[in-house]
Amino acid sequence: MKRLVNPFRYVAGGRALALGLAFIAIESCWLHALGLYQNSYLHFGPAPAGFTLAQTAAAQASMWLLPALLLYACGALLSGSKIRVIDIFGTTALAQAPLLLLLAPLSIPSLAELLQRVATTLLAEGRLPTPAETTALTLYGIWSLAALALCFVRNYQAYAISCNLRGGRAVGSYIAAVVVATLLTQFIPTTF
Amino acid sequence: MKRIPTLCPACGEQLRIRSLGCPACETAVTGDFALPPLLQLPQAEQEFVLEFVRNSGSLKEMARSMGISYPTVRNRLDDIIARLRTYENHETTR
Repeated sequence: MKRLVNPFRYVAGGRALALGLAFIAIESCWLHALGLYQNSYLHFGPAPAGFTLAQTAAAQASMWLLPALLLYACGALLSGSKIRVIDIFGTTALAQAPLLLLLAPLSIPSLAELLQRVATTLLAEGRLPTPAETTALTLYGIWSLAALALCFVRNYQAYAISCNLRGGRAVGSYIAAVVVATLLTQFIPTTF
Repeated sequence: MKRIPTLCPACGEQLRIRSLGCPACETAVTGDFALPPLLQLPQAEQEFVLEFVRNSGSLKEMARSMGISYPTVRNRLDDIIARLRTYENHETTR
């Protein structure tokens, strides 16, 4: 149970990196199968036509590497401890694992079809979804928000433990790094 | 074995040594002596320092034996170092 609250108190360094890379590989394959890719920090979109598995994996890896690099820079500037590169990269890679929770509902064909229909038909025609569809969309929205929140919490824990930061300094610098990462990662897919 | 109290149970202030006694000849020494910084640490942190010495100062070994991650061990050690510095500064300003 303690390991679920903050796994990085127990796993870090090379082990976390190996596990994290395995999760990133699974996410890349899953995203490719769903025809999606990570087009900015913790945000997914439909993959362009002809987007290969290697490109999906490269996008996925860069959405982990760039924020990790920024968090490492923040840690190096603000922390009084000797921080290890392998800890920040390993723990932030493992912190990507909850993204699988975000992808899981998209593998339900009826929900994927509904989301597709909402995006292409209903919104374009200005029609409202049925009550059953509205319920499904609301549940999906709540689930996605919870999974996304877990991703942010895990990333913060990874940063705080790896860089021995806490309190206002940790929260403030983490938010700043996330904002910068979100802005910078908007440009990553266009460079492939 | 009884543990040496380091904080005053009434006000929480750091305790100091007022008297020492020889159990063999009953000689008593009185005065005002500060507790060594390591002894001022809470019990759990004293045990952590002991564990650190037992592991020859290897944080990796400590992490392995305690079943926690390397940065968790290092952060705890850094917190102890910061606490010891506070004790030392407090002592020099007395």
